[in-house]
Amino acid sequence: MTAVALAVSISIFFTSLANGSQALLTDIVIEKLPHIAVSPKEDEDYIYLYRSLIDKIGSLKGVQSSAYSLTTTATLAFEDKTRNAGLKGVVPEDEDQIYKISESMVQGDFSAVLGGKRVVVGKKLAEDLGLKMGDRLEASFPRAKNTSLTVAGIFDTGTPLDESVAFVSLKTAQDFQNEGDVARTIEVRIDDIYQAEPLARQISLTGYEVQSWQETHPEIRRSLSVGRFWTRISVILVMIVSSLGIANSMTMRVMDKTREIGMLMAVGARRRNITKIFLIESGLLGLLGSVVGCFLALLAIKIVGNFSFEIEAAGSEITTIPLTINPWDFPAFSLLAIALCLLAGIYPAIKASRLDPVEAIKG
Amino acid sequence: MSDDIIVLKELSKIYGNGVEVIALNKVSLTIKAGEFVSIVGPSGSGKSTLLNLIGLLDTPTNGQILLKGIDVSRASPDERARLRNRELGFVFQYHHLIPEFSALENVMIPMLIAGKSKSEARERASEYLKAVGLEDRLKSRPNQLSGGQNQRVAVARALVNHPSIVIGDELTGNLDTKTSDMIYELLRDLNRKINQTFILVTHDMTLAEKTDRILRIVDGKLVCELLRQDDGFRTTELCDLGEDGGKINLK
Repeated sequence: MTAVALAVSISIFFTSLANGSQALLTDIVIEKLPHIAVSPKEDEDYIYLYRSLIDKIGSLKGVQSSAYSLTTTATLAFEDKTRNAGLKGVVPEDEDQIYKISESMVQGDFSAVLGGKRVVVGKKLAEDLGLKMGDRLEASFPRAKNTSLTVAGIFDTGTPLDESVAFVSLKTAQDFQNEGDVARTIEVRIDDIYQAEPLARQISLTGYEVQSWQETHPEIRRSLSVGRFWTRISVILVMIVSSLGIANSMTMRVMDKTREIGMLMAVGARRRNITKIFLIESGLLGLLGSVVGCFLALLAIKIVGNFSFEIEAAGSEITTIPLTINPWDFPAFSLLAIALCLLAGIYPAIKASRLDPVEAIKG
Repeated sequence: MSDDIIVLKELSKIYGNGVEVIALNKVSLTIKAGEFVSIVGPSGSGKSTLLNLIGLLDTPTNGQILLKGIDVSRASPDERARLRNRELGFVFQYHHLIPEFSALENVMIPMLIAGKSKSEARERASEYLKAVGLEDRLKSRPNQLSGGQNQRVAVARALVNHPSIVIGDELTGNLDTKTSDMIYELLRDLNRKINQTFILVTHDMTLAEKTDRILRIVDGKLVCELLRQDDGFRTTELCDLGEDGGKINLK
C-alpha cells in the first residue's frame, strides 16, 4: 500500500509542480510579452501605413489590444557615462496594454513621455548612467538627429527591459530617427495565447512580417513541451515501479497464504473465487493507497508551496514554488493506480488459483 | 437407497515424472454412512493419497470413486470444488484458519462459498462454535486461541455445511494427549448424535483404536481391515498386521 500511496502522491505532486511551472511560464507570456509582433514588409524598413494596419488587426476576432511603436538604437549619455539602449517611441496608453509599464513605475508617470522631449528609463539603466528624475541626457546615433531628453520617470519590471529600453513618445522617436510618420513594430495581445499562431497567419496575409510568441520566444514553447514530456515520463516511471512493487508484494502474499489458499480450495472455493480474492485485494490496495496518496500529495503541496525562494535571474524576486493543483489529477491518478494494481495483481491471482490444493495444504 | 457413502473400486494413483511411483495400488473399499473409520500405516504408505482421493482434492490415475453412488472420479475441477463444499468437511493437522478472521468468520467461510446469506451463515456458524464449546470465543482470532481451541474451530468449520463425510488428516498430530482426547470425544459425540461419518488418517494408534474400523495401508495397498467388536477388534479375511499388530487389541 505504501508503494501505491507514494506513487500517487509523487505523481500528483510532480504534476502540480509541472502545472505550476507551466502556469508561471504561461503567465509570463500572458502578462509580460506581446503575443504577436508585426514587422515591416520584407523589403521595407518601416511600417508606413501603421494606423490602417492597426485598425485591421483590431477588427480581428480574438484580438484584445495592439500598440505601435518605433524602436531605434541610441547612445545615451549623461555626464561622463554612456550606454547603448533601445529608444522606443510609444503611445503610453497602448503600450501599457502590452507591457503594463505603468504598474512598474517607481518614480514619475509613464504618460509623462507625451510632454515633449521626455524619457522614461529602466531602474538598471538609470543606475548605470547615474540618472535621477529631471536629469537631462543626450541621445545620439549615426544618421539620427541628436536629442536632449529629460528623465520623467523610472520603472522597474524586474526583466531585461530595465537596462535595455528607454521609452519616449512616438513623435520624439520619429524625430530622432528623422524618417517621418512611421512605426517599426505593432505588438498585439490576444484573448487566448494558444490562438497566436492561427491569428499570426491571418495577419500575415497583409504582407507584413508576423511572428507569434512561439516564434519570438521558442525557449518558452520548448520549456512548456519539455516540461510536459518529462512530467509524463516521470509519472509513467513512478507508476511502473509501484506496479512492480504491488506485483511483487502480491506474489509474496500468495506464497505466504499458500496453506490458507489450499484450505479454501478444500472447503470448496473454485479457482475463479481464488482469483477474485487476490484481484479484490490488489484493487483494495490500490484504492487505500490512492486515498492515502491523495492526502500525502495535498500535505506535500501545502508544505512545499509555503517555501519561498529567490529567483536570481529575474531581479531577485522573492516567490514561492509554483504549484498548481488540478482537482482532476486526484481521481485521474487514483484510477490509474487502481487499474495498475489490478493489472499487477492478475499474475499472482492466477498463480494462486492454479495451486494444487494437495500441495497448497502442505504449504 | 444404499447407505454406502463412499465406494472405491480398484483405485490407483501413480505419480510419473520419468520414474513411476505407485502411491496407491488398486484399493477397493466401501464406507457406510455413520461409520467412524481410521486409516493407519507407515509414512509414505499412501494413506494421505487415499484420503486426498476420497476428499476429491486429487484425481485417481485408474479406478472409480463413487460418492453416494455417483461416479465422481472424473469430475471437473469446478464440480469437485462444489462437491467438496457440499458433501465433504476437512480437518487438517494444522488448523489452517485465516489469521485475519475471527473464529466465527472462519466457520462462516464454507457457507458463504456455498452461496448462503451472511445472516444464515453467522447463525449456523455460532451454533457449531457453541457445539464445540467456543460460544464465548466467537470474536477471537486464531492467535488469541490455544491449539486445541483452534482445532475445535476447524472442526466446526468442517461440519457447518452438514457434509456427508468429515475427513481428518492427522488432526490430533499437533495436540497434547488431553486436547486430543477432547477432540476425539467431540467427534465421537457428533458421530453418535447425528450419525456423522468420519474418516481419519492417523499415526496415533491410541486414537485409531477408539474408532470403529481401522484400515491399514502399506505400500499403497490395503493390507488389513479391523472391525470393532465389543471391546476389541476382529480382522476381516486376509490381514497382515505387520509391525503394528502387537499394538492392536485383537479379539
